[in-house]
Amino acid sequence: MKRRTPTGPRRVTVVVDTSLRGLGALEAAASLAARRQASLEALFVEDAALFQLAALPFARELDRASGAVRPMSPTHLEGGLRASLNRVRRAVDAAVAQRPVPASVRVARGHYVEVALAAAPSVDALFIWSVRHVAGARRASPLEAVEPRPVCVLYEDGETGNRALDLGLELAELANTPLRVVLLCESSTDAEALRANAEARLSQRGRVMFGRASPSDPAAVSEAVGAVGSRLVLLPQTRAGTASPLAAKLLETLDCPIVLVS
Amino acid sequence: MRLVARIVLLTVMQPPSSRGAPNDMKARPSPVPTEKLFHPCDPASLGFESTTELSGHDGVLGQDRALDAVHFGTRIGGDGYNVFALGTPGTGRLTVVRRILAKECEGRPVPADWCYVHNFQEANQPMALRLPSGRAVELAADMDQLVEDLTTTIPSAFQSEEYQRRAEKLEQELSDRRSEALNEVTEIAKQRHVRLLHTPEGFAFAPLNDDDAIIRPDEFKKLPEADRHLIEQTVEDLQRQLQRLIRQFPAWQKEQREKLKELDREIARFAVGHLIDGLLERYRDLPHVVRYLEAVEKNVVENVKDFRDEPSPERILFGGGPKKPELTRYRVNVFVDHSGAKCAPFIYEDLPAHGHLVGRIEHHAHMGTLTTDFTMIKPGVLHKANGGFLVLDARKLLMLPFAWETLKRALRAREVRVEPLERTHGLLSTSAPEPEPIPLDIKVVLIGDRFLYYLLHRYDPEFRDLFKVTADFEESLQNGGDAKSSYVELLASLISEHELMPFGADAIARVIEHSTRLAGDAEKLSLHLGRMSELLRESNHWAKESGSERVNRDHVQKALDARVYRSDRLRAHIYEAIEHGTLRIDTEGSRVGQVNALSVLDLGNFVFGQPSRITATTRLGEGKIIDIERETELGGRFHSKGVLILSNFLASRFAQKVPLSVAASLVFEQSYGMVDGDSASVAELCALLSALGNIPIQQQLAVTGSINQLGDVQAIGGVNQKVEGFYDVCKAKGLTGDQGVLVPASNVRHLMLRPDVVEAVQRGEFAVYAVERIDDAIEILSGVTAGKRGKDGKFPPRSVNGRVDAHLAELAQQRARFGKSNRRKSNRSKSNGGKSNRRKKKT
Repeated sequence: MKRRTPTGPRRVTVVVDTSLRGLGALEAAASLAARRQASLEALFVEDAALFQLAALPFARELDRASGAVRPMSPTHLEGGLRASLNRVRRAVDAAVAQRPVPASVRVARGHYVEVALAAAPSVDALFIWSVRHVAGARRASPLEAVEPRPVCVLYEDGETGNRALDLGLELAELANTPLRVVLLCESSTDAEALRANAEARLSQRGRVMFGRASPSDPAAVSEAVGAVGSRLVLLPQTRAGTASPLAAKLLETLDCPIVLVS
Repeated sequence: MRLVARIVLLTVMQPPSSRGAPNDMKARPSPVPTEKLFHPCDPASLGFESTTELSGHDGVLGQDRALDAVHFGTRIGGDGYNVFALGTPGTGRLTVVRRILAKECEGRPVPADWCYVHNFQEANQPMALRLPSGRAVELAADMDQLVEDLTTTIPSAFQSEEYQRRAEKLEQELSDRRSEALNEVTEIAKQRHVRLLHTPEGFAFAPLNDDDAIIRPDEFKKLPEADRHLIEQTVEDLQRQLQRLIRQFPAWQKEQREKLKELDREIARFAVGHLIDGLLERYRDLPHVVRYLEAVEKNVVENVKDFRDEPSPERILFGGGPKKPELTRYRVNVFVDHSGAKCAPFIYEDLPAHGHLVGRIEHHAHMGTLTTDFTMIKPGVLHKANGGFLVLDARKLLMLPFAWETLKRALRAREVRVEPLERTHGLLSTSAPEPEPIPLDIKVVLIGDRFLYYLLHRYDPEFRDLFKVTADFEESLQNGGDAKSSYVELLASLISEHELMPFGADAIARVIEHSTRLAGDAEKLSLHLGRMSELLRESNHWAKESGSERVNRDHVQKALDARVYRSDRLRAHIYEAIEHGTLRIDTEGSRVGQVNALSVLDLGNFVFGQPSRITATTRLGEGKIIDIERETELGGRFHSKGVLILSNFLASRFAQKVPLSVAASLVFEQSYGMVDGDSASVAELCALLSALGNIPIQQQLAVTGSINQLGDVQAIGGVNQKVEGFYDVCKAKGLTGDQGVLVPASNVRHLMLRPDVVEAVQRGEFAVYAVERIDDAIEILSGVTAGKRGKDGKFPPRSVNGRVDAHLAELAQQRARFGKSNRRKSNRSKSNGGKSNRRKKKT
């Protein structure tokens, strides 16, 4: 069997929010960056809403571990964010410690999802955890081999779709997990053509399951992806613009990282 | 003192014949005939030419009593029937005991194996398991295999897709539950125009404006008071709701952990179950092992993480590799293993220290810390010999600290407890295993000398109860009947056992002669097989040196002579001093109050006789005889007893009607060490009689023997060495043909003199006289008739006794006169005393 030369992203970004949601994807992102000889970037998003809240006189914070309530001030918030940023830096260092991957940490302020979606076009692959996921909940790393949760690729025709498929296959092999391809098309005829395309690209490698969903029905797509309990979902960046209802729906409903592929 | 010396000197210068009438002189009796001085063994009577013709003696000779006792002790049941084999070292006690016990073991079953295992209820008290012989090793191997299987089976069970899925499902459930709950709060907040935000350390509620954006501070300030209050109330209310929720999280997490643990147990039970089931089936005939295996299964299930965890870097760095120490608890310490044994054990322990008896708990040094566990419990000989026999050396047992107490404790309690001494005596405060004691069923045979036996019997009240059987070993064998031929066979066995070259009949005859001398009785043979073996070996050596292919009489004699030569440095110095006159011993002439006595010096490996000069002086006194050795604390109790006996003999013979009015002193001249024993009491009495009767003693004679109150001469020890000692001194100073030794008649049967002494006697150069009474001794020593009381109650005036009697009577009269004079003086003094006092008062 002829093996394809890896092509694709040269920069892999992981979005991390103030509650450190996103750190769990760092290892997977670092592995991918190493395989692709890409750089790794952690995009730490400071939620602007927090600063607004901290300015209010009655602002209070509930401790995540104990539930204790304490006053919240901009100074206190700044301190907490600095601590979080340090943790992000340490996590990035740890992730690339054994790998020859250039790494950096970038800080942005704004809304987590908006900042992430805005950044997606400028990077090759962007890992973002859905907002549904509660930070701190124990979850296996996206690449830990746990059967039978597959890596899921939302596939559509075009270069971006193909790159998403290539990357999905690579991640599935890395995680030793099946690959599920959800064909984004409106009709069954389109689906057949898309499947043929995908099969040709996959060259019968690995265990691949196919599904279909209409891209105009974000709920159906979300259900098609969630129904198989995906470990990781790859979405072509073309479907993840700031105004894309599909990306918003997926980020709202899935409890796994989403990789936006450019 | 000078006057006395001159008198003694004058007396010495007078010949005996000039001081008494010729009919008072006493001719010497006939000496002991040479055939009684040495009892040769005729090689022709032995009936062989070389020991190669002999088959050897495989039994035990002359120890019938001891044999019966050992047999009895080993076969009788009941507490305390242990054996004490007493006798002199070298009499073959250990050989005999070993031989009997080896046979006794053959008929007894192989005892059980023992092993120590971890006690899952009390980790500090390892459990003892009893298994049929050979099965302890089997169990240990099975447990090692089980652990090895578990270290692969359990991780693979936990890595299975099934487990991973179920575990992740549990994780997911918790995650979902928390997410759902938070989302619920988020929804409630949204309905109340509030947004839940994630802060770096938790959560915060932000009120929203009509545009669904967070209210800015200036916007909030512009709101009416009531609205502001309402917003604050809403946020507070939501905070309380979220707080209640967050406080439930630990309980949910605990619930999830329990579920996960139960899942782990289920998987572990599945992984362990089929492995343990096989073992349970294999050991179902041993209920206590089954119980142990069930405990193992339970423990593995409860501690399954020990099999899953990867070794920590610290353990790999410092702990000697990835092996998990916590899995040691499933190992089996095979404590006593009788695999391959065909009968009950029999052990001789040469070093019966506490730890060697009851075992010990070893420690492992790790990073400067001593650690231990049940696998480091090591057995003692009591464990190894359990169910059989244990032989110990009593002297070593008593000399090693606390060993005797340890043995008694085990025998009394009928169990062996592995306990370090420091714990037994309360000196240990650190935590250490306390292994379960093991029941003891054993027969102990102690090998010791008589002294120890009697000492223990007297001073240790427990000894009698714990060692009820005494096996008393003979030191000699009566040389009669078939004894000599059996003895020869025994010697042949020793020769064969030590792989020595053949001995000719003449060599064996010489060995037998030496054996008789060792036995100290012409009619006995020594059972000191140790010494006889030494003689055989050394004779063999000299035969080899001379290039001979067979050991002959000369080689044996050479061995005996060489042994003496190697050890007689001190004797040579003493004899040299005597020869040079430094040590003053006269071997000719005669002297009043001076007698040659004979003593024996025991150097451990060499015993020899040494002549000593005893002198006596007398004066007017009150019947007290001063033993100078005793006064200077150089005399032992037996010697003092001898002096007291002779004092009483003197008083009873000569002071029946008048008080014994003499003061005398006795001394061993030039003796600077301890003197003990009563074998010089005849010599001392003769010196005293000589001094009292002013009768010279012939210095060419020496005397040995003890005396009783009636004047009988009694046997003494070391007669051969004593005779030879005086002979050697006479020979060195010049044999005159008039020299000799007086020995008790009852010692004649013990005579087995050196060949050169016997030859000198044969040539008439030396003589040995046997004496039965003190009168015999003084007659030979002085050449004067001792004299018997006549019908008038008086001794013949010129006899020894007559002269002593007369002198004592004279002393008594002097004492009486002295007494009267003293009384008169005293009375005068009393009558004058008053006046004098008055005068003094006047003065």
